Amino acid sequence: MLNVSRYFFSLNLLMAAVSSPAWAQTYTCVPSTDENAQVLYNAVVSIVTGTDSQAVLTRSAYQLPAVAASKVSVVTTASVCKNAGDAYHAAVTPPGTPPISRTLVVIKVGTTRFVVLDPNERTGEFRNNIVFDSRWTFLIGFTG
Amino acid sequence: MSRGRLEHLIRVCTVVVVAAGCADPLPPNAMAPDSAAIRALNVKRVAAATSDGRCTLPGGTCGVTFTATPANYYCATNCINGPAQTSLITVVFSKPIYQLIVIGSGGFFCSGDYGGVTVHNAHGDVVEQRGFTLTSQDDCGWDNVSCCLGDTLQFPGGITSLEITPPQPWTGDVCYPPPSDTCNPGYVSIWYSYSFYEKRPPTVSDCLTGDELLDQQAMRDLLRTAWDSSHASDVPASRRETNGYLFEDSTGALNFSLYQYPTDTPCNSSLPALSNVPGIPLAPGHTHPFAPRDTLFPPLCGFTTPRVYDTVTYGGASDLDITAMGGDMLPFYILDKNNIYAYPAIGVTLVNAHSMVRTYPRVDPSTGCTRL
Repeated sequence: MLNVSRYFFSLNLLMAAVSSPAWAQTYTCVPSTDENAQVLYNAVVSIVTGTDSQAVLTRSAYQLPAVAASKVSVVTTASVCKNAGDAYHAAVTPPGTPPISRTLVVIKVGTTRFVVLDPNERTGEFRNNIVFDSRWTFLIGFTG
Repeated sequence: MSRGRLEHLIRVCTVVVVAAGCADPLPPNAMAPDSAAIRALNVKRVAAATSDGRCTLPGGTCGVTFTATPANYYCATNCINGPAQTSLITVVFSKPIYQLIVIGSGGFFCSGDYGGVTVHNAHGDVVEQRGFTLTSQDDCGWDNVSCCLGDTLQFPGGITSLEITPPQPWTGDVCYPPPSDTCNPGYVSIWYSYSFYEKRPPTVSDCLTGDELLDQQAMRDLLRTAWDSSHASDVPASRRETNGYLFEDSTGALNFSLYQYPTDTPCNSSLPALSNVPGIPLAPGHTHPFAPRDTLFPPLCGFTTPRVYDTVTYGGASDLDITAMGGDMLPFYILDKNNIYAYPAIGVTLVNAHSMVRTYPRVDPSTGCTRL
């Protein structure tokens, strides 16, 4: 794996710089046509609709329910996006880290779960997909 | 080869040694196997070779194509299939081929030089030169003409191009059988076919995958060594993602090199530029020292909340693996505790990675054999 994390780190710094001060951060939720949204949507659908033993184990580990694909959707509603951004930031950064503007993928799963991703947020080489309940309580992350 | 058989070969477009006075048929030489029979044996030989997975060009249905410049034959004069051509023939294959056999069919003088072949690897380096030999010495007989030559290249690596030098001399006497002492001028004409494997033949003896590189012992050695260097049995914080390259060295053998840097973590590693890899880079491979669905607890890798190691979204790779490797136009391989993930060289995107990956369990669940 080529290490390009420094590039993204720099990009994040740049984004933080141009969107400061902290209270001016914005969260942009991408539409379902966005490539990152498609990837996460497809992954979540395969997890929640899978019927083999591996899918059952994965659902359990990711704390996601078994639902039909029709119950999985990409969300762009502003209020949901704001909640998702705040919850995501708290889940992936140390306490007290100033908020930054983020581009987010928000996937709603049934009525009880959200899966949120900031494609520009990385740990090591991995992106951080975070699972929340309907009250935006952190449940688990999955990363790969 | 008798003159009568020479005429026959001209008619079937396989030999073009044209001798003056061809209108006078000559009795067959019962002592020597005729060239037509030898060519038939050659055809059988090629067919047998094809049936064992070889491909033959021209004529075969192969994934590999070739171009020959100026054309794939030599002909001194009176040519049937095209104009006279005596220039060096350069053949380029559309992708590397393996264990090449070059076969020449036509007519040339047994007492001369049979020409030869020079082959190149993907770097353009000369990796082997061989002079052609007669397929059957018995074919020469009293007429000093033979139909068939060839050679089996010994270079085990990928061959991407070659040059062929012609038989010499271009012209010479073709004589009537004894007791006649009449001779007439004849001319060389010969063209070439290429029998080869399109993929590198497997070098592992069991637990095959069908993946060309994963069925090479050197690739398995790379992944095994990288895994051992990842300390995957240690506590997560002591593990290290480890990277390496499989490459072909100058002898055509496969080898590998591992790369470890102080900045490597359980969740990240680095690779040198392709230009720094010795030999011809064939594929990078690296480890993810976890099992699918392992929970990674903070502060591992800088996580502030727990993460599950996910192999669903991209099929085992990370998005950075896909974007970083995609530009190299090489297949790439990832090994975790349970599986080997093989991605093709071309066409992998973030959206289709999950469907493009081929996943091979380290221990095959159906046969119980162990790959790694």
